[in-house]
Amino acid sequence: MHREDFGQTLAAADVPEGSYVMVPVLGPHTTRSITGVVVDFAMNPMSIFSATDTAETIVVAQQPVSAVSFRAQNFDAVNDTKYNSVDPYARVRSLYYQNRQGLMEDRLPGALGDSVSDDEFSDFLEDE
Amino acid sequence: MKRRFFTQRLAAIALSIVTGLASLGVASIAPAQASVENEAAATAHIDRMIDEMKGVLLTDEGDMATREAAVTHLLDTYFDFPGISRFSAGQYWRTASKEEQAEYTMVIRNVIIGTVVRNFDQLKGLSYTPQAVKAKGKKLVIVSGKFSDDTGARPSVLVNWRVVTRPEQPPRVLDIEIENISMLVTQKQENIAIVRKNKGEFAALIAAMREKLAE
Repeated sequence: MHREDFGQTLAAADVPEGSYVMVPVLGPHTTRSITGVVVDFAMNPMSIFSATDTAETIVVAQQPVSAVSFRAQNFDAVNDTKYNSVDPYARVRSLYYQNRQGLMEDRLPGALGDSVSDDEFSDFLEDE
Repeated sequence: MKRRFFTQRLAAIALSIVTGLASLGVASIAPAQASVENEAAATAHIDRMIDEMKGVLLTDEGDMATREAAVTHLLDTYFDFPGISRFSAGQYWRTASKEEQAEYTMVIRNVIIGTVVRNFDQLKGLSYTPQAVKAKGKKLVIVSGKFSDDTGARPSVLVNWRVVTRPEQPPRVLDIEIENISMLVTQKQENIAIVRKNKGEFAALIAAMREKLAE
């Protein structure tokens, strides 16, 4: 299944990626993708039901809760990146960009389609 | 006489067209044949590696020295450490001295072996199922497979092995791509960031890796 968000829509419209930023709670983003997150938040269908305080709390809490949930689900992987990497910041940035690239190319994990990394490997092997 | 000459010319043209088409056909079949052979060699390479890994996992009793020796042998046999070193150093490989290149190759090998040894227990209880194979260019084959937890406690993980098939050399694994994330590209970008932070000094990368290994 492909996960789509407004950040990808902006990418398809050739909006420049912007700077890489590490946002508290939300994690790594680019200025383009964080704009997408804001639009996705505003367009969330749950917002329609946010007339009551409880519903509004649910809508507001959705992003931080999913961030905490992600951290819990990937506890070992996150710790491995944090403690076993020489430069955790650079590693997380690389992981983020590769993951976003995969999403924008609609690459399913394990698929054998072309990817940006393939070009990098082909160039490397041609230079041998 | 004139008619005979015309017939001969026509036959010569037809022959050259047939020969040309035939050579074109041979030229297009040859790379396809090479791709099929590379795909078969890469698939067999991964299958052998998985079989050997299963054997190591079965005999593993938790002794770290024995485990490290087994993992080192496995990785040295199936992975392309010289290629991994060159790729992961990026453009700084060319600026590094021969001594630095040799030292970096040794350090990155130790880092990779250390990572596998530390996470070795996570491989226990996993089954591997081959999925697909595809040649990408003359020297690269992607072999795709899936690791599944026998107990179902962990979600399945899709893996792409980037296997290098150089002419007259045994295939070697250059990279592992997990869920669209290339391990080697990640390592390369991390390394480049470290060298850049240190004003292009390749020795700083080696020092940082050595420091991490010593922890």
